[in-house]
Amino acid sequence: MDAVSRRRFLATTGVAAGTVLVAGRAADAASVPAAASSVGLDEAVLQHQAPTAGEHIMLFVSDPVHGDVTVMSGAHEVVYNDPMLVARIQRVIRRAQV
Amino acid sequence: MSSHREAPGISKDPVADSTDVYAFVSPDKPDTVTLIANYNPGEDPAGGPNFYEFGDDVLYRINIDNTGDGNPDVVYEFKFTTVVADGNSFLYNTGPITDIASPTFNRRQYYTLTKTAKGRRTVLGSNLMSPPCNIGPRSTPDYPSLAGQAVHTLNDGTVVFAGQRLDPFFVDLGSIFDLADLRPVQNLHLIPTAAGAGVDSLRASNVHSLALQVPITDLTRDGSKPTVVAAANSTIGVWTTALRRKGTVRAADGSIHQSGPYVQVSRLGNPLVNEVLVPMGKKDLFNASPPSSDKRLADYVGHPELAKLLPVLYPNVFPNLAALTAVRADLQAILLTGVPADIIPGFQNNTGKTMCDELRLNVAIPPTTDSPNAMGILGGDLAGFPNGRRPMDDVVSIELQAIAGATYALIDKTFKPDAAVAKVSPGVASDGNTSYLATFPYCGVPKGGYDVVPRS
Repeated sequence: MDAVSRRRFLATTGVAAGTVLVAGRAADAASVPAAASSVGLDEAVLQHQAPTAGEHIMLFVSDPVHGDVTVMSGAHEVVYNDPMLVARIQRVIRRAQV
Repeated sequence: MSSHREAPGISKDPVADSTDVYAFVSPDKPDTVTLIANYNPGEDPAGGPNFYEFGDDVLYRINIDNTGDGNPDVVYEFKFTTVVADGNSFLYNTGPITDIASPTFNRRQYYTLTKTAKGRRTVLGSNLMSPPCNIGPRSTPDYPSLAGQAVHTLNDGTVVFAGQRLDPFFVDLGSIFDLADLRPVQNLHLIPTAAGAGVDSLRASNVHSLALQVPITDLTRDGSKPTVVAAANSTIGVWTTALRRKGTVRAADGSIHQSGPYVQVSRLGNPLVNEVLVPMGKKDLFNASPPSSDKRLADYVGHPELAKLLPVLYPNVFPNLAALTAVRADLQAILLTGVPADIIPGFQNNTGKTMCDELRLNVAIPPTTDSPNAMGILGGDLAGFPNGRRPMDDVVSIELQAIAGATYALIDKTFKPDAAVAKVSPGVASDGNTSYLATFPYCGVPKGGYDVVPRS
């Protein structure tokens, strides 16, 4: 498991930050903003590029306290530290629970 | 069972649950080794309409360590793809399947076999077809012929089969999990009943087999075919693993999305290690771990819980075993390092000091073709378990007797095994129900769904 920077991972996979908030396929990309909007994601997060067709991207907040995020794409996995992203996700969850 | 449903986690994931591993010098082709890994425990032959199959989302491996470090040096990998010819039918087959290419075979599995050795990954075969399950006389009228069509000889000489077989393992599950009862001696049990004959609980159960027959020279560390039993290059260690994607999301429409690297969910080398020797709280960890981490098993093997239970459950039957408190170096050798030279005349399968649960096979020992003994080395047959394992080997009796003290005398001449040790057995010698074949893939024709009548 490589510990790489978030920027490097995103460059490698060709996706922007907001995409990894939702596990889905490229074919479903059009539904991502709507679904995300329903839980209150801001517009900046929704500015994303679609992942490769048929490719799933899964995000696992493996350590919420320290902001560690595991992202899985294809057969690959990277772990990086992004407390800000984790905080935003937590805010989204809290809003959705209201 | 040997390793059927042996851990809490994998018992809920049967397609990834390895049941047994076999490794032996092929009796009819002594220049080759046969490797068999069985999965999907306790298949009910009548289990339609969705009959048993391998998991498309499972990566199956047969691993070979030829350097004794607990890491694989040769890996054979099976990856399956299911193809449904007519998704609008609920039927597994839309008519008699008289050929594995028959259009009536509605739900088919194909696989790719890949070999990794010396850092090189080679696809040995792709679009290899598995046979259907044995359904009944109308659907699979000549099952042996169908299965035979699914034995593939590949360009490099490897022979491979992946499909349903009759479970070659035999054991009396009903008694042994009833407080270690052994029917032939249950009159001696703490809660006694009249002695009786053993019952093979798996006599009508099928499994799914991954079977390979490969030249010995493909497996040894130096590419040779060893002929000297004492030589270090003569022993290989074998185990199977099943892996799943790390990430899984179940969508509301019933679809399943998977992503990430493969992680190990099942492992099996020697029979009964995870089942009987590893405690409940560590079984799932065992399945996720590599053999190279097995040093932590040393105490479980060195002080087996079952060796303490036997004198309690069979009062006054095992006094010498009850008094034996030393580390069971005999069991550690058999299961974790291999048996060193000079312990058993003419035999060794030691791979060094690294403790790792691998099924160790000394390939320099020729196969026993004339009356092989199901008790393996305990029965004087050096070609049987724990020198590798053949389908007919009575590994439950062998390991139970070893745990009961039969093999401790090999390393401590002052120890006298209890008189009852030879009777420690479920009493389920292979009785013909397992119907072994004389040739590859050796495991018998699976029971057909139509033919099996449930027992009361």
